[in-house]
Amino acid sequence: MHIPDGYLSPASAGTLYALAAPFWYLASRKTQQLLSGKLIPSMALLSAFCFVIQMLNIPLPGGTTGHAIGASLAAIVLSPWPAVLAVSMALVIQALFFGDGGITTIGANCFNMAIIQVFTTFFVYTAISARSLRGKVFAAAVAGYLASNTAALAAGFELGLQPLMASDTSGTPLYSPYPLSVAIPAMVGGHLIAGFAEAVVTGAGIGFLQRSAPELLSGSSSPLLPVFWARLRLIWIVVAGLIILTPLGLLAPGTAWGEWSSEQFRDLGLGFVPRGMQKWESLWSAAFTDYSIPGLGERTGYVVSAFLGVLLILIGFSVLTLLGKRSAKQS
Amino acid sequence: MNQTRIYLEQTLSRFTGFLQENVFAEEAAGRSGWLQEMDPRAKLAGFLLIISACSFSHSIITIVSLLIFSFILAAGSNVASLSFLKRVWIFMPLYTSLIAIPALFLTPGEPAGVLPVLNWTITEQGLSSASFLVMRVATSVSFMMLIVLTTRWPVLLKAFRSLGMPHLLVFLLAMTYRYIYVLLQTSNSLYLARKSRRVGPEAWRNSREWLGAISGSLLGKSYSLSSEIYLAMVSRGFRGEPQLLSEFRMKRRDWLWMLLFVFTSLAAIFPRIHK
Repeated sequence: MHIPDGYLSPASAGTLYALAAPFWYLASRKTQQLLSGKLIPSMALLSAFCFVIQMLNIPLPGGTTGHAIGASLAAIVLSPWPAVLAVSMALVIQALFFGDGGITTIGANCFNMAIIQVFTTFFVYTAISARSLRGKVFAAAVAGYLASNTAALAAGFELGLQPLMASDTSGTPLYSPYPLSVAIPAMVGGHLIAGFAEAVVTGAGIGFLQRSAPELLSGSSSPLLPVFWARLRLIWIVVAGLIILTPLGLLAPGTAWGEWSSEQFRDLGLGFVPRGMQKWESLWSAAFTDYSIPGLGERTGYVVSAFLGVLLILIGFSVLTLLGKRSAKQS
Repeated sequence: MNQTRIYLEQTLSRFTGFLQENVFAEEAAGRSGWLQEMDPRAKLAGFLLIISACSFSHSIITIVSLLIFSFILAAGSNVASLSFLKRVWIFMPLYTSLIAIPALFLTPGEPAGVLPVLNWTITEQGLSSASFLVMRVATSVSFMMLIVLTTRWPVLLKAFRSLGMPHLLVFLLAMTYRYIYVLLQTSNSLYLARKSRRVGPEAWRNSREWLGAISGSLLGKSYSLSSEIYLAMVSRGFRGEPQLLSEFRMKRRDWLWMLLFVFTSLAAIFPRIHK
């Protein structure tokens, strides 16, 4: 999943650096609060751990082997913010000192593996973790599996956007050549099996720590936060279900009431099109018009759009909450 | 070969390969040559510029010229040996070529030829898209490997510091790098112990549990080791502010190199700016 240099256009690589930057900033602030003076040795050792864990080959179903990223185990044991830092540091060292993963793509790789994977693990684990040892191991394994697949989905999405974003006039893709319809199934398909490596390391790792060093795990269920998750868990599960069910909306005939376009006005027999509407209609056209993403099938595009939409809303609300908290503190 | 043997031996040989590569890099950094004698800041900044220029360029000729430039630099630095070429030309590009092959047929465009037996059409667009990918990857890896092979890591870290990377981050990188080897040694011993005590094949469940134990105990060890290191640091006068020495001097030759790198990068992206 380590994207090398040359696969992403400078524009997308830059965007992903920009997306990762606020997480790095927040992670360093929060980790400093959590660890104070111990920050340097703890982070160094944990980053080294994330680096080494990626070198262990794990037997996978089907006779092959793969390796885990270690981000999920780190997310559960360390809590998400320090895990973001530790995994990022391991990825940076891989790119800078060992030529594994690109320099221009550090932002992208950290975004996928250190941010998306870490937070997905954390959310899934806190949502389904039970009190019993078995429940915890199961939750950790499921969280690891889902999170590594989500990270692969993000990587597939980033790679698949390249032909759309950077092709020359003759239609030659200048960076990663595969459209979304190829890149996403290829990345996700590969990780449906490779994800088991993450599941083994996370599940069995938590099992081992639970038996041999439970004190390490005692902090992990504490205030790790977001209230919007802990209290509203059920609502989020329902939202996830709804996202998956969005293609059902395509089965319903017609346009949602009140969302007619100007042509539909004419077809409805109105006879004229309101002048203001004509004037403003073309002012803003969304990035993914009609929720279709070029290169993806209609249904997949719909689900991805829904997922992206919810993600954008969440990010927006988190930023607003943070700003609100800050101004409350200042006053 | 059964699966248990594969995962144990693959991991052990990965450890050995990693250490070997490192010994080789140390040895290569000690040779005399153009890049070894260059000021590390000029090298790092220059190469990062070139790698970005390679990413920006939309011309295959430019990218190939940059690749040739890297080979000339490798030859002048006495590292253009088999292992450099193996890394630059066999591993990454071969892997990327495998990834790029389907693009030959999948990219829509003008037909350029037909694959004999399977009767698949290769398109012109697919052909140039695949070569863009492979060449770009080869060029970036080539320059990155030149940095890694011709600079000792403490020097490289110092160069990062003097190029403006935050103090804390440099210190963290240095410590992480150091402890990777400590943890690697621990894991190596754990794997060897397992290998020497194992007789016959083993159930997937067992290896899974053992691997979980390895991951868990490595994490536990890192955690307890970090507390010990912290205490050791505090008892030696550490106040939370890392100190790094950096005493580089740019010579005239280094400025000339820097000029060459800047000129090369500008020349590489010139066609795009000009447009």
